[in-house]
Amino acid sequence: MTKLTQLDRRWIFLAMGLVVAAALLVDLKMPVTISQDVRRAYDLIDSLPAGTPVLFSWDYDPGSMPELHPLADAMLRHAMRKDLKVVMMGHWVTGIPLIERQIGEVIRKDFPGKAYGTDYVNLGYKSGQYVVVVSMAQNIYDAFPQDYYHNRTDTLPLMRKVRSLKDVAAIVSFSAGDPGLLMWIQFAWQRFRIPVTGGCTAVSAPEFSAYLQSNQLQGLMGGMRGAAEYEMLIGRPAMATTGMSAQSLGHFLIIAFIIIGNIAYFAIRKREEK
Amino acid sequence: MKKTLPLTITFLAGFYMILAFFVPHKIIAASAQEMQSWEIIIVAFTLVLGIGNLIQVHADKIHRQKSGWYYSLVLLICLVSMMVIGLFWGISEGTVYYWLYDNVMAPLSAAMFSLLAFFIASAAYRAFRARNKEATLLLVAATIIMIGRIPLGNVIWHHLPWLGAKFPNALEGLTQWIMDIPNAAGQRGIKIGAALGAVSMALRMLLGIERSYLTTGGGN
Repeated sequence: MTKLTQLDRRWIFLAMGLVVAAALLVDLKMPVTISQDVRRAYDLIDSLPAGTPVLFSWDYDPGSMPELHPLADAMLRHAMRKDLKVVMMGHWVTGIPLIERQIGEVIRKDFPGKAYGTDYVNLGYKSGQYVVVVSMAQNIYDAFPQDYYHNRTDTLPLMRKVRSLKDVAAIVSFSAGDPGLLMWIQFAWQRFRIPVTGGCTAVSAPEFSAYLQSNQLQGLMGGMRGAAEYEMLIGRPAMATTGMSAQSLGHFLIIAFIIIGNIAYFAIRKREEK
Repeated sequence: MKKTLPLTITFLAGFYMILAFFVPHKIIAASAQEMQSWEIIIVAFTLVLGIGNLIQVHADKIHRQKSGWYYSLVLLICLVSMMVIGLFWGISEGTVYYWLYDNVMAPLSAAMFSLLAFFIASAAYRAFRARNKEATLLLVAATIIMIGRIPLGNVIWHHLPWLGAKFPNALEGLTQWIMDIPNAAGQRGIKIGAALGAVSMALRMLLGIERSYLTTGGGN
């Protein structure tokens, strides 16, 4: 038993690596049930009539990409299908090229008829966090005089309709931390009553329970599971749904390690008591 | 004067922003908006301060040849390279900056994040022990959440001979209950406490009781 408690952690790493790799290779098909929180996020976007402007904020960097990229993919795809007008931006400077990547993967590839400036706009990054949000609520041209491609914001047809944050029907934040979803709730919803929804990494999902209950947050997609649920709702299983088998087996392996660790711990404690 | 002037500016600026929040007059709203625009400039300068601090810390490490100094050298070379490439050749698609971002930074960051799974497994094995009542409670709740939040957990539950058939939604219900009731209650407590702390700190700063922001890092 003492040997078990002193197990070299490299064995644990190896086991985890093998389990995740095997799950990704085999891709076990597992049914994903839809939670209330993801359903609410979906319903918010689904209820908007065609032509309604929404704001999508990429508040993450490549570090959280494995979890948040499928989420943003599914939601952007849904918005494009619904013919919503998407204003894009981000609060993480290292995450801005991810917007470009998503435009390429989703809009240019699967919605080639959508035109830049009319159907979607990439405002890029502006430092200032909550100050940018408040400033956007007063006048979006002041906060972003130019878009990501150095076009004057007030010359873009979509941005002529969206003069301030109050002109968007909903804000969607894909958030890996601060600044992110919480900041949008505190400033966009709390001060200007603009509905906020979005997704976050699985580890930060519990933080938003209170905001969901008070309806300050209109739905939430927590990590890859949330993304898989959204993929199911739009009827297009993709990256997150595939990742569910790896995540499932990974969780079970962690639980197995916890059980083994506790058995060893109690056996040693019993022996010491004797 | 060295202290009185910053304290006066802090008081007046802070008080004016509070006033603007409660008085919706045009003149006050417009001037408050202008002040908030200035704040964007101030916040942008924190980026400069951050880079300055990063260079200072790592240059010192290289100069003194402290352990792992070569990592600092790599960091500074990467920082300067990305800045120069981005400034002179642009950051849009098809540029060298974009290629480096796509093929070096993005995969490295994603790899760092994915290492979490390995470390969580190792930490859970070594430290997650049912040592007392509280630890046992945490362990049980965490296990239920971990099983309840994955599709395989629900599949197994539904196939359990007696439990799954009699209570098909019990696992999902229990998982949701843990998230909605004990978790949300705890989160609320933390958030209310933090908010009260932030309000009291803001008031202390406005009234000039808290002056640590006037001092340098050494507290002089």
